[in-house]
Amino acid sequence: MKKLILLVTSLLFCTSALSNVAVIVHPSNAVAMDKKAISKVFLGKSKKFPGGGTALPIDISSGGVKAEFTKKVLGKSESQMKAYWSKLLFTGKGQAPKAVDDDAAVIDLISKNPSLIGYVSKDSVSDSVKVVATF
Amino acid sequence: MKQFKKLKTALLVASVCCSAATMAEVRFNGFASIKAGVVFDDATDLNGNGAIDPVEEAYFGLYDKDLSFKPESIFALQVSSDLGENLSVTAQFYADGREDFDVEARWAYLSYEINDSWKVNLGRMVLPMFYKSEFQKVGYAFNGVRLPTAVYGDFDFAVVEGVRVDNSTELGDWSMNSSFGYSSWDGEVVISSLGGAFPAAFKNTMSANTELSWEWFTFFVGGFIAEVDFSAIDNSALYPQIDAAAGAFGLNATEVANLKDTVKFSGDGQYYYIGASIDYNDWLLTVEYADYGVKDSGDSFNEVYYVTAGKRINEFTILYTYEDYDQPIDLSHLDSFSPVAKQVGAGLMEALAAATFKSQSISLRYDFHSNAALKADIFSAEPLHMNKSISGMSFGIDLVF
Repeated sequence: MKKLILLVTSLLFCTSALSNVAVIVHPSNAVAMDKKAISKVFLGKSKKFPGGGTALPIDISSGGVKAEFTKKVLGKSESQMKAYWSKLLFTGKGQAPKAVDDDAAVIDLISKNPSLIGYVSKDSVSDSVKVVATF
Repeated sequence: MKQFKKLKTALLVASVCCSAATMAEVRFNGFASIKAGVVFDDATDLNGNGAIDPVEEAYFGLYDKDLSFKPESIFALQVSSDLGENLSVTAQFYADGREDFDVEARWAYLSYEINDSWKVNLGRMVLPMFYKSEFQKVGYAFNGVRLPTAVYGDFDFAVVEGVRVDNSTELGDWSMNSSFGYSSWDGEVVISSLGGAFPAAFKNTMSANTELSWEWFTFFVGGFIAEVDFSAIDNSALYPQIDAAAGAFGLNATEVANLKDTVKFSGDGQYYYIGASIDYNDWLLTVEYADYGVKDSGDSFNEVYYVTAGKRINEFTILYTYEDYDQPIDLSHLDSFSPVAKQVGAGLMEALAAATFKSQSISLRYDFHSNAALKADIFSAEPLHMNKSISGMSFGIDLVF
């Protein structure tokens, strides 16, 4: 029984440690953002960082970190997000953020452009980007 | 008034798209719906006049007793291209089962982003008649099998040409999205109670719409005014009936002229909607009320609303909808008429009234795939002032790509 509890605990720990989401920006970006501010940028409701300056969100095409970010930060499922963007896309009112394939591509783009904001799995974070929040 | 049929127009966009393709990256997106439905009852003589009138057929609308996959199946392809320097071009080609899948450009416009807050769109667009009109055909974007038909019917003048200016503003934790439009439309309308199609036009249409949202709460309001030209209906359908009645009831020339002026369909169109929606902890609630018609005309104002309430449970969304379509006949502008003239006018207005109803439905959405949702519903509609209900069911798939 003890072993089982230990196993379950370590599995849970493992999962949460692996799947933690880090929201990242360019190292030169001194912005402080909470969940609400990040959510606004990713929903296309805000096109600027809280202190000013253009904020361009970068999304990931699919995968666990996307699902977790969408649920934890945007408070929606991926289907809900797709419905949300369909509404805007097919009425000329907005476009979903550009999506790239994986964490490495997000980090690469953000390390080169101070206007970008993205999210990756916490374990993928490197020195070339700055973490503004984790979820 | 409600049962407007279709308009076919030439496509103005093919050339725009072709040239755009050679200049910049072209994006393709699309949506589709494959749906089938059936009504459990036969069309019947609801008003007991011994015949099945066009109005009575209209109640049974999209489906009959034979399962059909046609009326609510749709395929749409959107092509857009960013031309650089804040300019983009978009066209949405659209094949609707209701129109025999004839391809039509429902949207074809140029967009110019002035800054982060303002954008101008120029070309062919869907008129934001009610809150969800612009995405009425994008099934994936909403939870039900269809939007409540009491409000979201098929209007022939839904697709217009003009300009729409969009604004988005942040007000603290609130965000406000507004649009202002100027447009026109000409084409044909079919009025079931008159049993035919008539040329018609909406001129100088001015619209304003706003949506104010905060986390889980959204408030919306909007409307448009237009110079509605239904002179073909007036001249070929209404006036001859007044002339005929004049002979039969001995109305004098002044009364005939006044009557024509009072029950004509042309005039100042006024369309308004207001409502709110809540999406809180996966509980859903939306209420929308709309009031529309042509002022001082023979077609009384339509008062329509719906309430939807539902719950999202993982990949499933269950939704209950109550909707009501009413057109209270307003005879007040006939008050100054002689009793006989008043009777003629009232008779005409009542004969031309829309097929009013109330309806309830329960629908289920299942997001079984990242790009597709399976939907099914059962519905029961009750024509107002008639002791009869019509029930049916429908199901299908909505997808986006």
